[in-house]
Amino acid sequence: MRYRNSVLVAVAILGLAVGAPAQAGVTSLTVKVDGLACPFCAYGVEKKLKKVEGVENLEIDIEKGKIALRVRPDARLTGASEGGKEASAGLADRVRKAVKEGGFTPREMRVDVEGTIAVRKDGWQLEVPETGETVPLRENGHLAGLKAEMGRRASITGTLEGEGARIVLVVGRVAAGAGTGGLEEHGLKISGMVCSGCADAIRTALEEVEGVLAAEVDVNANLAVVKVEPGKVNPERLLSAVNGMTMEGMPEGTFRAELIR
Amino acid sequence: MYVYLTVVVCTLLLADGMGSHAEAHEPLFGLGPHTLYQYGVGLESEVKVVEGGLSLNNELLYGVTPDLAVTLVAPWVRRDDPGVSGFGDITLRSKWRFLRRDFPGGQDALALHFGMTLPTGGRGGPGSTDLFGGISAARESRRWYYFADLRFRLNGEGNAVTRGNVFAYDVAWGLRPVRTRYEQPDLVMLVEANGKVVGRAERRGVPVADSGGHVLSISPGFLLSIRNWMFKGGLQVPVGWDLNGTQEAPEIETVFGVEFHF
Repeated sequence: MRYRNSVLVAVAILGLAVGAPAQAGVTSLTVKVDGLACPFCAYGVEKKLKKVEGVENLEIDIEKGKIALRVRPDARLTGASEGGKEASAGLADRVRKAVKEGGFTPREMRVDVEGTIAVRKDGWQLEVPETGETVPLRENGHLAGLKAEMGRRASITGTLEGEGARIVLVVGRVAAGAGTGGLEEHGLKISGMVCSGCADAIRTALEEVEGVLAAEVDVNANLAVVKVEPGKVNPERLLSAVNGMTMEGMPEGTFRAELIR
Repeated sequence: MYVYLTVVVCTLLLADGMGSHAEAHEPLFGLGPHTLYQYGVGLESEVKVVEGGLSLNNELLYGVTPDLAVTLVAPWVRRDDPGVSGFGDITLRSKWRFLRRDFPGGQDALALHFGMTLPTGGRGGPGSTDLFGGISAARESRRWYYFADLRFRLNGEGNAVTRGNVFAYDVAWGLRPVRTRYEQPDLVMLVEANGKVVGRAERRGVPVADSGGHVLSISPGFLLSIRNWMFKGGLQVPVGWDLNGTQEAPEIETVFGVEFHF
């Protein structure tokens, strides 16, 4: 009972609320364009952008030098790769190319994207299961917002940097989405932790398990809360990840995890 | 660069013009560096009322790249003396915008121009193959336009006459009095200063005394566009001249045109 209460407190602290799934993906995309001065010349970029797969319509604001695109919800922002090579360009690259072919210079691309915020080995990411893409995030001073929404569906507004496989979404604003979209949570009781280093190592081990979106470990409460994709992770794998890990100067089996049911 | 050289070579192999046919937001009598978007196709018809007749220039424009455009001009010409009419000499032109600096709300650009006119017009035409080249610069903004260019035409021999080569220089200013939204009509007022220096013509190798000279003109005009349609018009009014021998004073030229981008 004590553990159950602790888990509930931990869940409340981490803000891992559950709710209905929201529509994921790019909900809006605005590109700032340098060189836009006359409507007649802007026609070329209109024509090019309307041919971009995923773009449904657009509105050109010449005075502000920007073009607002209405895109299909299932349009991938980043490119798809096969065997380590980029197989198809993502929406961001296609839009950038269209603007260039229209005779102008794309300067900044601002997007609103919905997905699930997670932390991986490479850092913060926005995972959009509906389109099967993972968008790397640069927290840009919004770490608190990302942490608060970790493991949850959230809407991120930011600017895109880089091209092809190196696209990064520089976070400008994090807004709470409509909940976790049915993600599973697992609480673990963990013994053997003596410092924050232990907690970090265990968190890393848990997040390396395929299907895990995020993990939080509290060394004082001897607890871990793990967010996973529904039906993708057998809880026993979480236990194995902790029970089988070693740390320098500590024998194997130092850490013992139990599932809190 | 390689693409442009290829186009230039092709132009040379296949096929006048001083290139004074306007494209998009460009001077009506001078040159400008604007090009068409990549793979873009445009059609333009321009009526030019000139001394001793008029010409209807039908142009097909194509954007090879965002900074390289080619144009085919097939004019229909009517001359008062002698009273003939029909298709005139075909002109092929190319334009390479070799420098473009885009900034918020505007663009700076420099372009090279090259063209050739073939003696396809038959009777009434000069019957010569002429080469044309030039360089143009522009600064375009939401309110103001500035243009400048230098251009030349090397005229070949035709019908035992070699017309004098032409060197021209132009500057132009444009003003957009009302900054409208994208799908609204957009008006730009233009005023140009056009200078033209023409060498003496030669007939069977003998210089023609009453030919050539220097003419300076002022040319007010307008460009009115509605999305991918543009209507344009202007007058070229000679304000000063120094002509060789005995020649009639240069006359006012009038041009009206419509351009459509597909």
